Amino acid sequence: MDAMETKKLFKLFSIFAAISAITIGGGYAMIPVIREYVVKRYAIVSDDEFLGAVARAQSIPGAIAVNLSLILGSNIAGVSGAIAALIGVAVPPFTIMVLVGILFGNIVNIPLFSGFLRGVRATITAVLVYLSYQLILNKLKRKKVLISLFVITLLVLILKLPLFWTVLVTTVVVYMIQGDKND
Amino acid sequence: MIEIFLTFLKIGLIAFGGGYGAIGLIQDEVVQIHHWFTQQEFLDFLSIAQMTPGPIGLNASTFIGYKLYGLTGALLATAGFILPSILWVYVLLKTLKLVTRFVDEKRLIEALKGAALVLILVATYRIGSASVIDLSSMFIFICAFLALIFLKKLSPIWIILGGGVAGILLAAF
Repeated sequence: MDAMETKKLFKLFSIFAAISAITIGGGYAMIPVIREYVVKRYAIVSDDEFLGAVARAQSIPGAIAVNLSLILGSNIAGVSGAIAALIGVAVPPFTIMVLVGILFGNIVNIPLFSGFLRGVRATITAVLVYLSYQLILNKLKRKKVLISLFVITLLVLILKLPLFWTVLVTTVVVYMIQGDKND
Repeated sequence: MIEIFLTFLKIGLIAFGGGYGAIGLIQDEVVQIHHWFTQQEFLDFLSIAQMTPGPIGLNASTFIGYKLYGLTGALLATAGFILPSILWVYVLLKTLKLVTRFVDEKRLIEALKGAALVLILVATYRIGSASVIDLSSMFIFICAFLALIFLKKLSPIWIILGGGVAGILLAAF
């Protein structure tokens, strides 16, 4: 591995580490920040390539930021690039979460903080409802699919079905029932 | 302890829909199946994972692993959650051409998005029904929802922090 290569890998690592260390709000919040860095500031990928990578990162399971780091890293510098970007994404949150665990082990027992967490939870619910609403809007044209998804969700909630198997079955069911574009 | 690793491996393997899809699966495994934590504890961890930088699914995995078995637990849960991504990126994306010979790619993606929606709806119901429980939490929920719709330029972190501060104020009075 020559010096150029090492430098490129370190750059990838540091870009992803910086983004992961400062961006609060999860993967969806990270996408525009990653774009700002890799497309605009450092111009290491084109915008088309970036958007293609985002689409692929969203279509496979796992945290979107993790998937995106792997795909972009791999596009830019092969397997070692993917590893460098992945380590960049994973190390800062890992360190922060462990530190929070060590320093604030019993923080949830402080009354003031538990009030804070109750407020945050209500806000997370709003984020989830908003996200569900957007996803449902995208599916409105496919009524049969949408109705079966609602039925599956209700079955999971009422019968407490394990989600792991539900996901696998749902994928097969939705694949089978989508016929023409109009249903 | 290997159970943590395997559990998060299972979660990472099918966490369609990104971090929020992963949350539903994590809750299912950690609270309903393994009974490692109560729903209340899980929600506390989730709030902390949401407020700290980084992908929420990754944060939640690391924190839950840490709470179970310290640093080793954190490493095992994080590794379990991330490894399937590597598998998916390399195996699925490289063999996509082969796969699409047997299945229709558009239909498959639609099916996977459908599974993601189920995951997110289940997470929304389970987290919501335990979080929006009284008038004050209902008030915060409605304000946050309106803020998400009308203040699109505002970074979600301010809405989340605002919700937290409102939670303190409403708890105090």
